[in-house]
Amino acid sequence: MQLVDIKDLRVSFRHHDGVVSAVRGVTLGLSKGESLGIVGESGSGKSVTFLALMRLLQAPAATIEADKLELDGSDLLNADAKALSDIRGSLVSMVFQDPMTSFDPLFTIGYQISETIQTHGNTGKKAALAQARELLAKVEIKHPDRVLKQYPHQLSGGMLQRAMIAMALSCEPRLLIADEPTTALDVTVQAQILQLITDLQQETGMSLIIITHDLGVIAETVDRVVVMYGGKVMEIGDTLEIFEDPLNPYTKALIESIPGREAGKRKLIEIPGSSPNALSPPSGCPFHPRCKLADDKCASDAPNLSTFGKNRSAACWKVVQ
Amino acid sequence: MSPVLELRNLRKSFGMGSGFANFFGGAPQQVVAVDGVSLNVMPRKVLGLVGESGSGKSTCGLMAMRLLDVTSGEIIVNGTDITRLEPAVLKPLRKQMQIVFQDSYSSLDPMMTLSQIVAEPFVIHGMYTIQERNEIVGDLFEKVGLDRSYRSRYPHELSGGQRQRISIARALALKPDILVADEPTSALDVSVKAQVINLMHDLQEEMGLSILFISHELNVIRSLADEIAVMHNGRIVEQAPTETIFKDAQHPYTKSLLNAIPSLDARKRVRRSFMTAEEITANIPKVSQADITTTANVSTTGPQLVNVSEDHKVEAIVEG
Repeated sequence: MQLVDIKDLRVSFRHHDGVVSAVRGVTLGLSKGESLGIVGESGSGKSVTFLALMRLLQAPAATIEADKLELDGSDLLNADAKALSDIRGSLVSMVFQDPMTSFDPLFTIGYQISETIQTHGNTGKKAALAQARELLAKVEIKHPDRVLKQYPHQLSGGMLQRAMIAMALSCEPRLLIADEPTTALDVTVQAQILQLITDLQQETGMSLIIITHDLGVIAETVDRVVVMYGGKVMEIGDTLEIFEDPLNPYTKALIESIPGREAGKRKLIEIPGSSPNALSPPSGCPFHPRCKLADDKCASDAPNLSTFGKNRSAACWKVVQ
Repeated sequence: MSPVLELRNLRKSFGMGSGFANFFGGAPQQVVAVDGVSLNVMPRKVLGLVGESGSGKSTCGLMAMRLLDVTSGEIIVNGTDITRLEPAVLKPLRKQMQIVFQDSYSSLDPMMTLSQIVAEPFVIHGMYTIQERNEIVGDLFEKVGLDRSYRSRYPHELSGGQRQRISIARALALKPDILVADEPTSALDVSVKAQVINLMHDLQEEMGLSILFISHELNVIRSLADEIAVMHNGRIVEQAPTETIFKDAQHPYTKSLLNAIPSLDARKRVRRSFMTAEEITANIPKVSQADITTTANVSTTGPQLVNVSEDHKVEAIVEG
């Protein structure tokens, strides 16, 4: 059984100019212990997919529909508040991009981490604090005793993100979802946080989902990659295959346009145009207005995600078996 | 050839804890953001200034444009010392120097149409007739890859990449000699980032621009810059032609920046080791007086920027 099982997920938001279809039929799965990278640009639906999975989107603003939305066999689509709270505590945790706004500025780090432990576990205040200290040490914070007593504004961005990860790990989740965990951080700190997340994943055997716009973040960290664009999945495959032999023209263009891959002052290969407008997405394949290979069929009919070999699928009319 | 922009021993310190502590007789604290930076931007060249947040790179860019007063040092643009010029004297010289910021949303007035924004420099400097302005603005739109029909739109109607094109068009309106670009691509989506980098590439060649390109991304700088200066804690710790930095970095901080670039090779999953700030300080290279090509007398106290070859400078401790 898969840990995450999403079938034909559709999420839309009410907007004063109409309905925004943020996620338009996403199907993906994640096995236990596996690490998955979700790559996409802003507006691709990558974050919304997992906010929907966590049921963090509120009706009536958001409408969530799916054939299947399951986490470890339990249905999330129709789960009530109590069931959701249990799942969020024991099964899955989430780390967000901006650690500064993810912590409450009025409480100490120690209070906030131990509060999570007390809420979801059956521990007293003292034991929870001791556990929080242990977690801070685990995420390689050098002076855990001091940090326990500090407020969020007293820590650097990198330290706060470590504390955030400690909090996410506090209930020993089986799945950690990290949404752009390093985007707000300095380059050298970014590399360290990524290393920490991979180390912790290997150590605890939990499953990992990293959501990012940066292909570079993913190449070294995850087993499999999902490429999203315009609310749809464009390609899924093992990391190595995605980078060495991208099937979808969008994946290929995305990899080619990364700056600094080659030495010397040079022009980059660019993707013309801009991302689709979610209020009025293009017909057919969402990438067709920017695609070099696009023809009439691409403009009129949306390609389905079809499998190409083991563990590999792509949504593109131009990819042949 | 003389540089278009010359920064000589720039320093900037900010007062901290003003008010409360001072009121009770505490000594005001000083934060030194820029600590003796000297840089030359040569004609038709791109100098990349790389560093992490807090390194002082943006402060350098702001001082170079006289948008922030210096604590000490000199700024020379096309041979004129502009460090302490009065605003009225400085104004005509501003035509030679322009800046593009990271956040195009907050650097464009939401109440102005795009053509008003791009034409504003002409209004400020009282250049051209209204008809001429319209024509030039249309040309600028085309130059930065925007349709002329966009001129009556407002900034909020554009995507991030398009807004950054407008910022660039405005900066280029006065045909400056020197452009400071402060993280112009950092807020952009991956697929659009390459477009803006290519645009800057084309414009630089076409207009013979000199650019001081400030970024935290070594990768972006690599594809644009002729030379790279690495900034750390307010000081330049290494400066060399772009590929020398990538192939023969000497300073531990430069090495740690290079080490942090994520690899795109999924086969190569190496566990990296990271240097702490203390380790970086402890590993500052040591050179002997005989090894350096600097002609000026160097003192032997503390690390300083020395030439290890003709075009390669590294901050090192000089031993007698």
